[in-house]
Amino acid sequence: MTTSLGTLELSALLSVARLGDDAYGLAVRQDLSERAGRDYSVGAIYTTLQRLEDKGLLASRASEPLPVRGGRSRRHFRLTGAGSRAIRDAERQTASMWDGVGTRIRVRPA
Amino acid sequence: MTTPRPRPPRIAASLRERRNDFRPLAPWPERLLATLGANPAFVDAVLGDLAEERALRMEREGRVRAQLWYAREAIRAVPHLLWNAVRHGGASGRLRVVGLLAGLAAVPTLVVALLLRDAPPAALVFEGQRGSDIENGVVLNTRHPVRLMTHVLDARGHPLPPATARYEWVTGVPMDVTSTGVVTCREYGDAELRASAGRVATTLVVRCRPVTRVSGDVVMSLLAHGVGEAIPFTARAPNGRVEPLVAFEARVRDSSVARLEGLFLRPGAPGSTVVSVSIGDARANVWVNVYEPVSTLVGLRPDQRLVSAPVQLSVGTSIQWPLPVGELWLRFTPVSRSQPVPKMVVHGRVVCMPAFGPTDQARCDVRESGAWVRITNPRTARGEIAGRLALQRLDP
Repeated sequence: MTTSLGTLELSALLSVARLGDDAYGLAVRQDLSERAGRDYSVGAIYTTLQRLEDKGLLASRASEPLPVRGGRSRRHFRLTGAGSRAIRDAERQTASMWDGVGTRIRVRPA
Repeated sequence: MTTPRPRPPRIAASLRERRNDFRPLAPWPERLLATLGANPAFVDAVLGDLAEERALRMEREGRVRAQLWYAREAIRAVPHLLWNAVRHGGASGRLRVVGLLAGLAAVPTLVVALLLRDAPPAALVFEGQRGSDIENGVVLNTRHPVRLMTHVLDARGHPLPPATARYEWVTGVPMDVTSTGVVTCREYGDAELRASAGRVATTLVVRCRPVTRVSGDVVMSLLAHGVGEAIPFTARAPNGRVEPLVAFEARVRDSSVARLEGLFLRPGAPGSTVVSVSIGDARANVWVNVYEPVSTLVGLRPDQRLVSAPVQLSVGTSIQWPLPVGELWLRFTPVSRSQPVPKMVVHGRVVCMPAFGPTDQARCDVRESGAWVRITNPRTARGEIAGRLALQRLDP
């Protein structure tokens, strides 16, 4: 069954996949902000990550408390099996959407 | 011999030291965000990220910019924390959100309610019928029921709803008074009423002066943009005597010709109008002619329909002016009623009703040009005549 994902949800999933063991809120936010060119708020990122965890696409664990965080733990995220499948499904869907478009429009090289 | 055992060092720790070194007392913005009712793990993650990035920015951008960034992000986090409280905060979280939103809504509501609330009554001001100059009293010239107009004011002088005032008869001539202030005069005389609103109470004198007739059917002659004159009317009681204490209402039909200033009528542009005067149940009309002042009746233009020329005659002299063709009124108004009466005659193809003589006004029909009017101060008169001859064309 395909899980329906929003743009920010898919971006956050990809960011967690990309960051690996360093995937926690601040790192995901910086990664997404740099790539998307917009300033996501901390609350928006965590709301998205929480939603992905609720859907079973991400799992989280707390690190040791850190002084730099005021004695709070980092909340590290990792992809679950469902999360990996969701990314592959999204990739297939995107490829399917792009199928046949390349011959009709001229894509300007970046 | 035994040596005393060394005393173990006393370990004293402040309250701050006893607390987990990693968890100092959180600053108040963090505590505020933590009280929004969101899931504790979510709040910790958000606040931890905010603190970590603030520390990074302090090194990179300085303390002030980092604190500004922190304040902005803390505000941006509020809706997400509230949403999380609704979704994951359980019943207590949802209750906190409802309480918070209700509190936020209550503040402006309370401020608006405080600003708009009616202050307690502080004064009662009675509005006499128009034209009355009696302080703290109302003149009634009718035997029909009249509602008293009372303004209830707060301490700042702002009016409050009139329904808050209550009335009762206290002393004086018998009078029907309802609690809402409807008064019916039964006989001539004064009565004292008590009016109250909240803790404020005062007395009011109601003067019953029934008027059954107003005599005012006269013509006022005024000069355009000149001095005003009192409206000539007389109010009469049922027994026929003149009633000096009246509350009158007057209306001018054409305010470009004349306008009211209390009892006075101030002339405007040349023209004719009517002033209706109401006193109690009686009414009367006063006709008003406002004349254009001219030096002579010679050479009048067709558009000059109401003109007035000065007349000044020593004993045995006369003045003669031509009359325009058509129907017209001629009226001589003396400066003083004690001066001699002039002799006025018309000549030519003209008929006047009544014929001039003992009267100083007449309606004339001038049928041909060449007619004229002559005003004479007879040789037998005792002194000079001064006044104005007014001419009013009646043709459409």
